[in-house]
Amino acid sequence: MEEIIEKLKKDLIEHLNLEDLSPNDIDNEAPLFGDGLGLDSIDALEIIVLLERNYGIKIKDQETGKEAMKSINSLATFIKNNQ
Amino acid sequence: MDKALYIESFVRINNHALFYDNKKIALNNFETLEEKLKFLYKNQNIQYPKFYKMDVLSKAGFIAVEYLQAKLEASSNTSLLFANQTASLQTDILYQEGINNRNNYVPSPSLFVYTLPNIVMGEICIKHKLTGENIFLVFEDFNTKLIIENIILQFKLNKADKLVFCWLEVFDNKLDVLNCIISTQKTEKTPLLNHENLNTIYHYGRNN
Repeated sequence: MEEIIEKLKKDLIEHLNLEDLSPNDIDNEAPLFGDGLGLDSIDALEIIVLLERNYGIKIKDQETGKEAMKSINSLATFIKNNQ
Repeated sequence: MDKALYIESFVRINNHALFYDNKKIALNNFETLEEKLKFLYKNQNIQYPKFYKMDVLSKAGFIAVEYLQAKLEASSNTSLLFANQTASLQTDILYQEGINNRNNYVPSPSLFVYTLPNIVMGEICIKHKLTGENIFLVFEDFNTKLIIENIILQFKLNKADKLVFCWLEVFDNKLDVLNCIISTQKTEKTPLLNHENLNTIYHYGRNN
């Protein structure tokens, strides 16, 4: 799981242009959107593209996506359960 | 009779340097537009992470405004008038490259949102809380007659008591940016907005 989290953070930093952040700066439990990492709706779409391209996972509906994208931990768990 | 308009402040950026307030920041050490703009961002100690998500056109326009010495205040009476030759072509091409190959089809949402040139004005308005009119015009070249006519129209229609004009041509590794604040306020240092003065500041720094 640690490996998935580490790779996920690096992928997000690169894919979402989070230039001034390193993996250590990202709190695994902090919200991805709003407070916490402060991502927006365009970032959400980019994460969906990232999951499909880098992990081979398609998000089937909005509810699934919303639950998965709460935090780094929830997204990593989603990746682990769907690969 | 039209009110006299004045150039309150300007920033000029080309591939070699950024000029503002009689200062010059050299850009010759950097090869790509991205490198030049990132350097200018860090040089001004700006803390705005959204900058890194913008395309080159938006980054260039954003930077040009940040270096203006007459600062923008939140206002519903500050208009924006931006113009260039190639619209958002640089980003359009990048996006097209991502979707050309059906076997490696990568439609990037964060790139797609910048395939309209007026988005740069949205970025600036969000940062500076400007809620006035804005318009992006595409011209064949830097045409002072058309530019001044359109600026005057904004003031004539009472759409602005201040206007941010930006010529924002960013294409094929070329930076050609002139950003000015236009207002009705005259001071000792503010030249009149006319063809001669606009051309003078457009060619500023050519031989520096």
